[in-house]
Amino acid sequence: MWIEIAHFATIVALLLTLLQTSAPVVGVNMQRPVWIRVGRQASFMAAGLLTLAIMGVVISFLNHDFSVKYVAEHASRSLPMFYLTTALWGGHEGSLLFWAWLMALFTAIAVGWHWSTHARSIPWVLSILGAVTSGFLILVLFLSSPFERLTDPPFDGQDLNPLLQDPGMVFHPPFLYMGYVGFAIPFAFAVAALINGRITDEWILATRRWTLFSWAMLTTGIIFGAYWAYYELGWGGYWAWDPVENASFMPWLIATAFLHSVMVQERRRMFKIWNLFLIITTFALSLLGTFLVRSGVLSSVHAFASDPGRGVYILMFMAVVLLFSFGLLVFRADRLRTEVRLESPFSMEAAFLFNNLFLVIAGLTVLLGTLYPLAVETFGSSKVTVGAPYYNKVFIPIMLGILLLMGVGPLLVWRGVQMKSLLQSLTKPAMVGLAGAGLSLLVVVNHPYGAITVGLVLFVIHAHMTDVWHGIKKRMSNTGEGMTVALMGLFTRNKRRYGGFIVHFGILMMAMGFVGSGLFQEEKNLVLAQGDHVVIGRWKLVFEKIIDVEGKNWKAQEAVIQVEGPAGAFTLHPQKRVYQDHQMPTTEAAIFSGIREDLYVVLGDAVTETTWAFRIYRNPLVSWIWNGSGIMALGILFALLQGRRLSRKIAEKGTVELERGT
Amino acid sequence: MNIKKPSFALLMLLVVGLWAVPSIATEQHEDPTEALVREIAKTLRCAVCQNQSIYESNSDLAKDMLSVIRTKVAAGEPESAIRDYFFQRYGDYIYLEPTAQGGNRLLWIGPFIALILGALALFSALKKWQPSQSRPPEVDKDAFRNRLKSEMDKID
Amino acid sequence: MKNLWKVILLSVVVIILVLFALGLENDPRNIPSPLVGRPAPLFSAPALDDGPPIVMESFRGRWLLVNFWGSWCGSCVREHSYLIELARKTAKRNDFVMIGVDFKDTKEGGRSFLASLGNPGYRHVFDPDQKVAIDWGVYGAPETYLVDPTGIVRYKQVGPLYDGWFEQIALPIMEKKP
Repeated sequence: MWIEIAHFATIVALLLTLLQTSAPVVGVNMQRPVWIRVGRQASFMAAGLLTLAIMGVVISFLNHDFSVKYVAEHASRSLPMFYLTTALWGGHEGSLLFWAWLMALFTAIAVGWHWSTHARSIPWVLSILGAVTSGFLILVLFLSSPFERLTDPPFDGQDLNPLLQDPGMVFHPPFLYMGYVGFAIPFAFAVAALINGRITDEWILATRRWTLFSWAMLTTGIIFGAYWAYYELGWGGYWAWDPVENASFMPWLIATAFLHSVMVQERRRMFKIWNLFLIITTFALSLLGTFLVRSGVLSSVHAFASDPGRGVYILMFMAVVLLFSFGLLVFRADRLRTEVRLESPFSMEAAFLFNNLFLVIAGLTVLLGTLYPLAVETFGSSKVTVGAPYYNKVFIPIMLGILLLMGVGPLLVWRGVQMKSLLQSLTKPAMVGLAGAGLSLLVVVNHPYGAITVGLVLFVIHAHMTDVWHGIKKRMSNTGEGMTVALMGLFTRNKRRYGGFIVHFGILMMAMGFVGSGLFQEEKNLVLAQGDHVVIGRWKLVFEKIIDVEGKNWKAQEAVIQVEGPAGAFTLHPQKRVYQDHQMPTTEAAIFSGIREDLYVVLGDAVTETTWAFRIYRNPLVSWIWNGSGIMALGILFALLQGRRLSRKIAEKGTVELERGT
Repeated sequence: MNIKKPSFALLMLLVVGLWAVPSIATEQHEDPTEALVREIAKTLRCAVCQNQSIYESNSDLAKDMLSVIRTKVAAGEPESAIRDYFFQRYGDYIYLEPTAQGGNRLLWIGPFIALILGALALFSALKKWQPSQSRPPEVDKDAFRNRLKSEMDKID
Repeated sequence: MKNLWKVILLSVVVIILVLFALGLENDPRNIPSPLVGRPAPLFSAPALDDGPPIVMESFRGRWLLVNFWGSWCGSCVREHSYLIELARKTAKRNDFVMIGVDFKDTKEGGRSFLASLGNPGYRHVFDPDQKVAIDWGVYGAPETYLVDPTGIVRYKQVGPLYDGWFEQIALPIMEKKP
């Protein structure tokens, strides 16, 4: 019953999104605003209907309605309620419906918010977003329908892939999708600006929060993915440079570039075309990621069969979106051209340009590494693999360049400083950084990249602290505030700048985590009998016994391991789990997470009746990655608090103060 | 003496054996060759997985490949020979790190060439964008504007 | 020069789209074997029938078809009737011989597979820990190699053999090299 309601709601939603695509165009061309309002109502109703559709699928899951093919393939009676709900995005079909729903929801919110403030853009925004949503809905309805019924329903379903039965994987896709879909809003505003041909910056102002929000969601989604890989896949790492991971990382890199360069446009009205290029590319790469993941072009041998029809459709859809938006950019570029004046190469503007150069090249590198095997296979006669060792060698130096710029940034101001004063302010941080790099090379770090990273992290921290310190001092002498109050005042007065600083700080923490876990991981692969003990780093592990444990839908063998170490004594329980209806056992690593290092124990196969294989890892500083990402999230939240008109208000106030002669 | 030797050896074996029983149940060390095995296995792709190394994959093929590597390392074969053994049989596909030969060179130098070209283009553009007459920045002129400007610069 | 970026941008977009369009046709299973054109790895391995070990060199002077299979592999079932037919058809040729390699399998599994689906009559290597399979660069099952009388690998078929495979693929290769 419910699945039919969902199916019907989706069909009507498709018709409505088609109306939403066409009506505003008619309205604009015939000067009939009523048609634009029709488009708006259509988008609201489509969002409501797709919400109903999502509810219908979720209720089918909760009712264990195994006559629905999608439910039968992704759930079972023993699946816990939590995973029953989230199994919605456990497969292709549901993910695509989920994506379309988010798209419709975000469209409705955006249209509601910006309706009166951006009257000129709204018709085109409605039309573009409607086209993208209907593109996804056609895919959902005709090529990968989650609404299909089985004529001969099984008593029990095939259950959700055990690897997906993990909180990290539950939250990874929705955040990622919110990021991808969120970028559709600035994308639509950008394309609307191109269609209008108006050289206003309205689209930038309208979408500032959308951009920040989407970037935050994408970041969180990627981190959840890494977290999942670390906790669930049991190989001691968190990032494998898999094409699927790269697909989410590429838009992130370009979006990060956009986040920085958009500030130049706001302040200096420059680089309009460049910003349009960046946001279109961000969204294009989100679509490209979907294509790579869903069409199966990059899947490995013996992977589950992919549907070529679906691949062809997504490719055509992507071709239309890409050619339309990039083509529009190319043909309208001359009309948008503005005079660029850069007073100094030692200015914030120039620094942002170099930051953009590095980020875009970083994105291109990932794209090259991801597509190269495909190109060799298609045009050549052999197959190659581009794996983690390649990226570690090529990608990291580029990232180090970005870290360097991150430190120079705060020392610069808009329109530029004189070289002498720049050198002056650079001296101290640079010396601290060099000393740190040298010291770490002498003491612990035996890898050049590691030492450089440590030095750069210190350099960046010093530069940021100096900046904050100057700000505080100035405030204290101007207003007579105490230090804490001055700090608060400084941060709240310009939330975006200092939110950015907090994000930078989170990234630095993560960088230290990468160095620690990447260069100092220690691992042991050995066979233990009951009662054996192992020493790794500062920890002593005693393998006590193997016991059988049972969950709602799985059985496991669990090793009991007593650990003694600096953090006291505790027990770890690594498991080898076998889920009902699934052959392949999954490993549940037991992890003790500390500030200095993680202890990570994986139970392997039984070697004899009484001995078992174990992999024991000591992963230094991994928790810094997760904590650093938390700090990043805080920074973004802080930056999001900044109102849209704040900068103008302050500017006006400044002028008043100037006239008063204070 | 000659007759006593085997019995002495047997006795020693017994003593060692008795002593070894508790020792087996105490501290275990990783096999010293395992580090080399790991180093090799981490650079080879598990042929049936998506970008996972032989060392990290749980698939049967990866496990058997790992044991082939173990046998070869134990037999004293050098790292390059073991890597080459797999290369001979599985081709370029097996190396997680692509070789720097032929078309693959694009992969290795492409990003850096793009970086250099981009930087050069940016430098020349910066020069072009600078106003022709190089007037001194107005920053130092007026105390007011100076302060307002630095305040403004902090904003956004 | 001023419009150079436009040309580059649009051509990059088009190139990527074309790459994807062509890439959709790729068969992910088709991994070219570097062994083709090179000497086949030698082995002397235990047999599934517990008889004397099977020695590679003993097939010198004849064309050799090596079929890798396992009782765990679904496509091997599909291929099996063709293998039986092929063995029967080529039984009279004295320049052609077939063997199977049952890998990643248990003896019972392999034997009951042959018992239930029919034994094509040639001998099978028993390779439970994939030593021979890895030595030959095998990814999965079924995979089949055609080795010439001098011991050089001439062709590798990934995936099941099909009706008419011998006439369409193998015979032309065998006749080209007298």
